[in-house]
Amino acid sequence: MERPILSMEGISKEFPGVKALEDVDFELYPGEIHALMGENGAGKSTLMKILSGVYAPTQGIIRLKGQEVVFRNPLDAQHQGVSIIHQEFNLFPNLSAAENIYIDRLEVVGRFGRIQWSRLYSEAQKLVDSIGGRGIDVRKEVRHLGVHSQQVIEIAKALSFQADVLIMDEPSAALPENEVQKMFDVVKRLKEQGVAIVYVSHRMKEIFEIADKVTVLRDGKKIATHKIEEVTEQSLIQMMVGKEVAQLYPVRIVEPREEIVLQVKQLSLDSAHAISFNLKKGEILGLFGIPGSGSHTVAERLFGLVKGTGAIEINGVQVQINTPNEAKAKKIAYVPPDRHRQGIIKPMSIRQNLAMPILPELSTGLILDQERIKKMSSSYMEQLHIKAPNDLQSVDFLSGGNQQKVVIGKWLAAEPEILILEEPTRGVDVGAKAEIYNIIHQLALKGLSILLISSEMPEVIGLSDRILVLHKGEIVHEFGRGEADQEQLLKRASNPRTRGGDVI
Amino acid sequence: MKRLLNVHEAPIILFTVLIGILFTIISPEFLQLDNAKLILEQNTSSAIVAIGMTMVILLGGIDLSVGSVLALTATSVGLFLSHGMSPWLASLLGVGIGILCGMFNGYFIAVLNIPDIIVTLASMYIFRGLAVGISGGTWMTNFPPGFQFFGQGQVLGISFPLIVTVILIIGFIFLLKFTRFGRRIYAIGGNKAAAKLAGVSIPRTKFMVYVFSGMLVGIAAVIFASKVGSVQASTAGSNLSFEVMAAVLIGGGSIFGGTGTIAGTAVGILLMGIIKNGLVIAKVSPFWVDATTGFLIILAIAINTLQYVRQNKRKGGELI
Repeated sequence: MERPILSMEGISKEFPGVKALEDVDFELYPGEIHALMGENGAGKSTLMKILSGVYAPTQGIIRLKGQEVVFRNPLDAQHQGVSIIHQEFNLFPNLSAAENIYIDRLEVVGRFGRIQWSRLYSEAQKLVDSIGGRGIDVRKEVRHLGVHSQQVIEIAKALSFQADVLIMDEPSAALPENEVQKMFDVVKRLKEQGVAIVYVSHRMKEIFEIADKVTVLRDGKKIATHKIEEVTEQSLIQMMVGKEVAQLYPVRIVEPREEIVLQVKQLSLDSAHAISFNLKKGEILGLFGIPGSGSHTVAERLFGLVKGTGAIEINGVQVQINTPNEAKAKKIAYVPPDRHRQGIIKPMSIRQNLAMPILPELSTGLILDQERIKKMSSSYMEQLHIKAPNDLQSVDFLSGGNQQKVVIGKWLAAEPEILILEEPTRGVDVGAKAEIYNIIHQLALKGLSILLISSEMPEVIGLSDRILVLHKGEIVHEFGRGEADQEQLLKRASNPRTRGGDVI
Repeated sequence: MKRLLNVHEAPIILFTVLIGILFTIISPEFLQLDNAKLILEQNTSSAIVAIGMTMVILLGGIDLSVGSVLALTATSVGLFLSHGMSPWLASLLGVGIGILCGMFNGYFIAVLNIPDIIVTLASMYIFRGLAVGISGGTWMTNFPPGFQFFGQGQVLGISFPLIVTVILIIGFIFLLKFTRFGRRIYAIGGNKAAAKLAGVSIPRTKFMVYVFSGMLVGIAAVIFASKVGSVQASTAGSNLSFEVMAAVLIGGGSIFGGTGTIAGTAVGILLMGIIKNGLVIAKVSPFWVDATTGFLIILAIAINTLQYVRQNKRKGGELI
């Protein structure tokens, strides 16, 4: 039997307060495509970051071709033969494709440190051609290349280091449908050349089409490694999901709801896709999709962050929403997915953050009414159980959960009718999660209509009255409350046209 | 030919030619050989400073201190000369002072990671203050005849400073295009994270850029002092930073870094020189020269931006 090119043995990784990986073994053979699967937070990316030299493991060793190795940084890992292609490409938009491949490398530097441009171009073109990138002009600046071509350049860059192991993180997420097949061709060619490929993806269909083996992680532990013939979609999902969800969620009794608050008709997500749905008064509507499904775009469209076509009706009246200000005026609020970058203003106090969206309403003439701001702020501090000595504390010093409550609070202060929540509990500990879920539940009871967009299946299932499943810009299924479990949800979201899947 | 039309700088070259034609129509003296020579010779100092500024802006940086560095260097050279030092040695020491100033900026910006706009804003005052301090507030003047060569001398009938400028421009074009150092500058300006992953040392590259920039300002200061024949520490090079930055941007440089060339900057300097000279020849009231110059700068940059937008219709979030 052949020897593995790479083996990771007993890998553990601890971050302060969290055990991200526990005693994980992982083996990789030359010329195999090995899928790595698991839910968000299962430890996939931590494992790959260790393999590519971003993190050092707390425990465990890595052997490459039988030799124990230590990767000091990503560049070091590359030089030793392990390259990673991130979901977000790491390219220089202002430089030619060829230079992107060979940037800062001695291979193309001649005498007296002179860069040999003609050799650089011809080597790069040869490399790109060899992986099926014929037709890509390597002299072109990367910003003028399409997404697939950019990915080919990333792959070429990785291979230019004589990579034995290539890690691909969600490689199809950035690609339009018609180019995924082209990417597969490239990957299969690499496999024939003996490169070992780790293929990280959520998409079942792709895994069964391209992978030879699959390893499943859950909660930082390795569950199993199987040959692809030995597993079914069903069994994979079972492995990924594990046991039932604990009782984190408030008990919701769904009464029949009639009054439609938001009606979306043919709302365009990109040039090819548009969706229609409605949201009723007091309803929590879940929207679930894997990366690349377009669920984030739905929020951006409704809040006027990106423009497009389609009709939006609020309480039966057609409205135009082209800017966040217009969305605000129509009583829509949006809690964005990235708290740190989009949600809070760190150096400012809780009070100032809460007042932010409604400064005009809190003013008398041109002057801010400090008394009213103070009153408003302390009322939300209390209502949302924001834990801080007082509301003059800067939000920088709050825990993730309390920061998230501030973000929710500032939009509640705007008294919306429709609240869009995107990843409302990302990076929040379990205790705060339960609190936030309860807040969401209470808000809906008071008549607020909530659109919950999340990549965490348990929370979508636990909170939503209805769940819309989004797949590549289309709503492929609708679940009522209690109809969905994680298996079915993941199945619909990753490959809607499977056995018995009646597509709507 | 096709390559010529594809040149990045094409629109701005065209614009420069157009402005030239405009001035010729207004006043035929503009096109005289003597006047052309004058324009070239008048702008050698700023052209040399602009080489360094191009590299700084390519990194996505900014340098407000070049005018003060020029003043400090020129004043020092004046002092050295007044103590009877030989012109060559004085000039060489002057360039050395420029390099020291560059190291000062580079240390705070690259090593201590303080934003360049803060560091150079501070060093703008520091260097200017030092210059005024060591000069005692008086004019540096009465340079020895041997010193005149650097700013006014001729070799084979061609102005010496012009030769120096052309050599430096060609040298740095080569440096940026054909060495790893040069390409690192573009890489950092284009995508800092990717540059780091590719093993590029960002602090080292940044530091070297500021050192080169300081050296170039030093050379420019020697030429400036020699050409003008006197230096007043409090005013020398007072608008230089902004003029030179404008030239880089006119020449196609992006304030966000990553895009721009020294050739483009040279055209930018030339355009600014032509505008100033042309307005004088066209007898535009000197009171209106600044406003007109500013307006033409906006126009030139608008042309570049339009070209950029046209080429880059996709949502270039990462570029900005």
